[in-house]
Amino acid sequence: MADLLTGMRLSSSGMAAQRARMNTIASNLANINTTQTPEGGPYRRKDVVFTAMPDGKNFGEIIGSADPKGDFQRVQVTDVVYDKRAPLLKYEPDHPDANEEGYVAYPNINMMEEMTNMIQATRSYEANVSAMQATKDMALSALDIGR
Amino acid sequence: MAGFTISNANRFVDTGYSKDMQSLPIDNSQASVTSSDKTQGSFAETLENAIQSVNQLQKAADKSAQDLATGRTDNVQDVMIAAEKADIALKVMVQVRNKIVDAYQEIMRMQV
Amino acid sequence: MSNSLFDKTTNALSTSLNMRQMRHSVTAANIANAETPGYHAKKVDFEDALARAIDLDGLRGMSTSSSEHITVGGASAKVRPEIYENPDVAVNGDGNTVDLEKEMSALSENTIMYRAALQLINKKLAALKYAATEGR
Repeated sequence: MADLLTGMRLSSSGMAAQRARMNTIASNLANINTTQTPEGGPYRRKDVVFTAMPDGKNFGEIIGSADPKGDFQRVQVTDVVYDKRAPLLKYEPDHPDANEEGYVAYPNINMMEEMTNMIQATRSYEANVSAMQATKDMALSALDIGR
Repeated sequence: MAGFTISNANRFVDTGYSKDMQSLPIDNSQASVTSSDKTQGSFAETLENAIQSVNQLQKAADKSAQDLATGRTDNVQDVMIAAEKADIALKVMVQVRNKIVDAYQEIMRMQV
Repeated sequence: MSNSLFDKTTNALSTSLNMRQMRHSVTAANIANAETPGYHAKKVDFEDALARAIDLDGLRGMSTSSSEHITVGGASAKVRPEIYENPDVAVNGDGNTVDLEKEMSALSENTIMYRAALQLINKKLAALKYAATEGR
């Protein structure tokens, strides 16, 4: 049954999701020029996938929730995917990572795109923080009934 | 408080509209008619008027609270003011009643 | 006897508190899912159901002849809110229909109304207490 603490769970799931997104963005920005990785090849841009999942305290509740329309859904990061774009090739024959034709593969990361995503993630995070503050205020003022 | 006698009590609970001292329909004029029966009657009337106006205020506050609950009005400040008015009117009336009861008991205690 | 102390208004206000809490949860879910692809923003409507429940001559403890009828009065007034997908929102590129600004302002308004209802309930209960203790 919905109560105010459900609202806090939903908001915190939003904050966690945005935080995960922020981490991938930070990782992308830090590795914007990385040409070597342990798996071989240049760094590949990562991105998060969000899914809306029904909210429930345990697995049984999630499975047993009959009415999807009436459900509250929290957000979950279900996957971290690699970007499908091909790496950028630059002609640098003296670079230690150059291939036979003298091209070096750089990650195809656009800084402007990452900054925009970062601003978006921050904004969403702050919105979720506001929602949680409001929930907390409401719950605390309900405690004052009759005082 | 000048003029706050038992028979004047209702003018202090009529908080719904303002009256200045001059234009006050002084119920004393009725009460000062010589016959003691009439004094008694008008006191009861006064009391009943007081209770009626408190009831009116309570009903108005209830109505606006219901409107707020169902979202028919957004006017939070009016609802709060109406609720507070009703509250104050109730409190004044309870205190007046206490004073009346005390006065009555004091009179009954008098040994004649 | 305790049922007759608490009138229709108090029940209406406390029911509205429950409804607003549900609306709060739905709005929080919308905000949390503001970037989830394919998520449709949801909305809660309870005002009409509550108004009808109040207007049904709200005597306490009206008995209902069928379980479909809305029970009126009492703390468990069964007003059923409608939760449905908000139809009039523009769809973003990835199928998400959440408008973050609208959800935030809906959240604020809901919080204010919630606290207003809370204060009114407090006032009414305090007035009852005052009358019961004769103000002494």
